Amino acid sequence: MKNRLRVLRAERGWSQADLADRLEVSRQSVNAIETGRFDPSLPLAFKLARLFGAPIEQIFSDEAQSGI
Amino acid sequence: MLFYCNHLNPLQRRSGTRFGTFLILTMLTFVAARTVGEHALVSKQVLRLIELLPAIPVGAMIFVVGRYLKQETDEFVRMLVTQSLLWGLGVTMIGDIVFGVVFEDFSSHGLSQIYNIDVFCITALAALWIQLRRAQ
Repeated sequence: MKNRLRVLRAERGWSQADLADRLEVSRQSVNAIETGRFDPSLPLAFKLARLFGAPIEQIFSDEAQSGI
Repeated sequence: MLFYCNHLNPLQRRSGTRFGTFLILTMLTFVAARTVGEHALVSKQVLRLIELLPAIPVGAMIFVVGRYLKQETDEFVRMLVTQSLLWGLGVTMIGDIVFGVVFEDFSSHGLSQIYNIDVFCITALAALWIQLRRAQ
């Protein structure tokens, strides 16, 4: 799954640690999600959507679907 | 976890301390049971009971890990810990089989249980450390 987390975070001038604090997760979690090594659960994806004020599908996109 | 002590949250710190305490208790009860057995200080029935004692801290260790996994809110860290436990379990089981074949009397000396716990803990911690390093 691809995501725009790094871009959205950079737009707000947040570090990975800042975002991790806001999400109440570890910085490693944010890094793993950004690099695509870990797909967040639905509750965490909703939390991200609320934090960035954007729908989930604007943050995450299905690689298989986008490739069609 | 031990290698990132500054970044541990209270739950991780508490669970780590409890796990370590029960690990030490496991070792002590193993050593105590062996010492009592070797010196024939008690009757056979009492010795059997003493030899069962390490099961209590081992059970407590499993309980601590289980409760930690249930309470850990960071799903990525939870996944890493679960994977590390699987590494520990896998290496211990495979090692047990290999050592059982190579050294036929390995388990008959009552050494395998105590080494199993050592190998499990060391492998799981090493796997967790490697995974946390890779996640930096």
